[in-house]
Amino acid sequence: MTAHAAMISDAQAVQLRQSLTLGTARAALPPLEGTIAAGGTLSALAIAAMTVRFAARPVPDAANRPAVRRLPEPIGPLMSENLRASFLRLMRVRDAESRATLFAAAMSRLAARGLSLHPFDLPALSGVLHFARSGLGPVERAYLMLSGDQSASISPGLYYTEITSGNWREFGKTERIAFLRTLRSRDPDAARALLETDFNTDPAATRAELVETLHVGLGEADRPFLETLAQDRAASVRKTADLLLRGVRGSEPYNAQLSELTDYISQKMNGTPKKGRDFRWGSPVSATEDSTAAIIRDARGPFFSDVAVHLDLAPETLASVELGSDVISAILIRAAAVEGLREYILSLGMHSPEHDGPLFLSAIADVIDDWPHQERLAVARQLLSLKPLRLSPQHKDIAYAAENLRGPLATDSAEALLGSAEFTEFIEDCASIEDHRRHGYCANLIRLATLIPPELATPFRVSLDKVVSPDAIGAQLFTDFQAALAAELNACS
Amino acid sequence: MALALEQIEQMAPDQASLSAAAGLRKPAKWPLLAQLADGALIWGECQGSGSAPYRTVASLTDLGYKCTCPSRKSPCKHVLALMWQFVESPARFEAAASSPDWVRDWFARRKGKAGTAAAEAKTTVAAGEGGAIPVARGGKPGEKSILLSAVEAGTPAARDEKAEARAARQRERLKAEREAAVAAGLDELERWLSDQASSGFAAFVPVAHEQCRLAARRLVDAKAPALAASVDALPSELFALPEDLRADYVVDRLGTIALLISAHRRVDRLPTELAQDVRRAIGWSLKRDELLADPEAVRVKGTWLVAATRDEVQPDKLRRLETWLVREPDVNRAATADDHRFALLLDFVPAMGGGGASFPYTPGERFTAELAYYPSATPMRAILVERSILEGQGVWPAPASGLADAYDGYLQAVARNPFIGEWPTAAKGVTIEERGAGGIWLADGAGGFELRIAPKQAQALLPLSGMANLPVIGLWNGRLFTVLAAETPLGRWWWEG
Repeated sequence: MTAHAAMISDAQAVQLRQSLTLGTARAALPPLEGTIAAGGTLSALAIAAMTVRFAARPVPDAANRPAVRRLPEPIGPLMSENLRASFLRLMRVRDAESRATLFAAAMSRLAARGLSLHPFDLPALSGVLHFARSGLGPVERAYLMLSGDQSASISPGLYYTEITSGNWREFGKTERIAFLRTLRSRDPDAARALLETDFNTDPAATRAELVETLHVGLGEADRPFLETLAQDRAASVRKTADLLLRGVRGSEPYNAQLSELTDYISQKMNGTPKKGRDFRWGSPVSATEDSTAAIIRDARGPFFSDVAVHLDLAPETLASVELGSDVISAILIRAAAVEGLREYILSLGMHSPEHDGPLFLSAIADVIDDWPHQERLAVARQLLSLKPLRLSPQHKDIAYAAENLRGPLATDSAEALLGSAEFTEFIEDCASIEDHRRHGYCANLIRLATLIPPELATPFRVSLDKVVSPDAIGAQLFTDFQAALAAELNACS
Repeated sequence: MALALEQIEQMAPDQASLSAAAGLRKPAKWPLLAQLADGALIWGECQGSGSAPYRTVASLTDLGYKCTCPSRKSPCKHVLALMWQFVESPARFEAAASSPDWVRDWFARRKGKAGTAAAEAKTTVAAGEGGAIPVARGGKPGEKSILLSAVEAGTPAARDEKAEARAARQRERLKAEREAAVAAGLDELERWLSDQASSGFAAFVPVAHEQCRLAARRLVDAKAPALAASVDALPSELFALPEDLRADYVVDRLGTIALLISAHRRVDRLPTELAQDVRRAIGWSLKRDELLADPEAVRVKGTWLVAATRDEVQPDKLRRLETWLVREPDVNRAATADDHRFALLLDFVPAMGGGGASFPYTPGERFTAELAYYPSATPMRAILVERSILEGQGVWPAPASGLADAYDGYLQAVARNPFIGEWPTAAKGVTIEERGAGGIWLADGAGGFELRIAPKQAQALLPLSGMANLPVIGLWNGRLFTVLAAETPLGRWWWEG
């Protein structure tokens, strides 16, 4: 439609546009007729506007059109509208830290039930997607990639529903690391061989992280490869290789570590060193040598059975010796976990002076992470049962548990917790504390909500009613989300 | 928790709020009053002066509250009236097993005790500032009394015929003064336009901010607020556009302003509806009561779907709250011209102080209502006359036509009313195509026609990219399309921009 056609010609329209762009002082308006001419500049401007409004739309050039970028199809079933609304409500909690905790917990619940995020919600969730520890699906990965870079075309890896030895190089670092860890737990040699192929093509930081995956199923077969890495050009790779060699029987770092540890334990058993001095590695790899967590984490070996042999003790005896040191207990628990000696883990915890379940859980979290899901939960629950969780923000218990358990407590543990004086006191504190500490209590309330199994959601929700502060909202919304999730599963079954 | 009138008195920011709340206690003002079964929350909808009712919610456990009205007072009269009614007549509140989404959303978004603290602080300040304390009739300075409010609300205003005649004369005089001021303002604007045309639009772009600000201020002085806002918004709209569209935009906008000036000078000779469009584009407004009293106003009843809500802060520091509605076709009756009809509920609130104002509706919500349209050559802006809420998802109002036909519909609307800014459009059989650096487009199925989508929607529409044969609802402004809603295989998508 060209409404102006009856009033001015196409040539006049072009000239009119040129005059207005350059300025009528420099390029005079075209001669116009009748009422338009009488209207002067106002009419000329109005006509120019209408030529723009009614200009014919250009025909699309299909041949030179850039390719359409699209997300892959969702793999699993999507959440129902009710569950989705409950989930999105959770994501509207104002505090960013609380939102991240809630998102990670909600995602693990959804993943465990095979449910996918709705693709329409990804734009709103882009700020928290990276908190999904269990890895993102192809739709989420594609969204992050395409939304971050206007010029990026979609990577072939994003379309694969499954990462395999054949296509793993097409994926990003996070997915490749997760894949190698999984492959190591099934077939350590195949995973190492895959890693060695084209090893030098990645940047140093990525190579160090890929090498780090060898801690899963670490064994003597890895020793030659790790020893070659001691000559690597990147310090981060050399450091990672050295740490891993501490866990390889017969290697120099392993023997040094074993000797250091057993010397200390011998002294402890003989009444030395002096009271108050706890264990430290002689030559720490970590710069943060004073951190208890770092001391425990640097203990890549030795094997629990080797420690027992070195001390000339039966393993069950070593597991029940009162060593008077939480750090040594944690290192030995880790040593037992590395070797898969689950029967000694609880015993070591019970004979530790503090019976610090959350500390022990954090010490072995990265080791048991590769165990089958049920076994991981069983061990974690056993450790957490050593001592009731301390709920106040002064302690790290709840943070450790929420971070490492990645699922609800066992029903009996949760029941005991909800019935404990500690819980009652915590709820009273949440309701009454008004100063800067309130944020910490609020965060722990949310973490606690993520640890409550669905069957105890109702009594927990009732307890929250006592906390009239809106800070309890995140915890309340999470229990609502759990209830919606349970209702959806019931409806499906 | 039991609520007492004394608590409401304590919460009220001043006596005037209590008096206003007293007047709002009539059941007719509240089409909806409800409470959660456990008594923790109460909520309601109150028909105010806005285009849609205000939604009000209060927590009885900690006396937190929220209202969608634009009042600067906290709590506003609606919150006070809601609580007051609950104390006086709890039976009026329907017991609900669960709260509606908007109540749950408010609950999820609550930020600490800020609301309560603010109310407490306000009360404290009011009690401590001698000079600023409102003096209640018959009461002491700063005293707030529910009893007094109820008496005030029930007092009929004394009628004074002489005073009314005087006021009518005053209104006529002010109207004549305004007409003269507007005419002079438009004369000045014509000179301004001629200056821009003389120096060239290429030279206008770099100085657009400064030039438009200046012109807008003069239009405010000339009592042409709508045109002032439109001129003021021009630079921000210009620079939000992709560069290749900017030259056309300047020609279109400045040319349309020129057309408006010409039209205003001939307003008596224009068709009545178009004349109304011209006067409204300058800044003359029609009050809600006047529209309701107008027997000629177009009224449409039906089931309406909330297609989108948009909230924009204008350069004149007013928030423009838009609620776009589309009428669902009635599956039990033959198609009518009003099927797929659009309507715009529009409210303006101060950006500062009216920050509490929010949308009473969420996209996807449906209700049965009668709407009254403002007189126009292309009726679009409307107000709600009466309304009832509907549950569930209705029929998607997909039109029979494709994208090219929808575009023709826009051109026809512009031919009737050239002062249209954005025009709502529905089309079927379209594909949203995200082409990376090539932009994002709305294309018809055959690939023969396409409209460019606003770049700000690229990330939000990425999940829809490549989906074929979609029915969509959106706004076209002559340059860019804003997708408001779409029916897809993954469910309905709503723009939350």
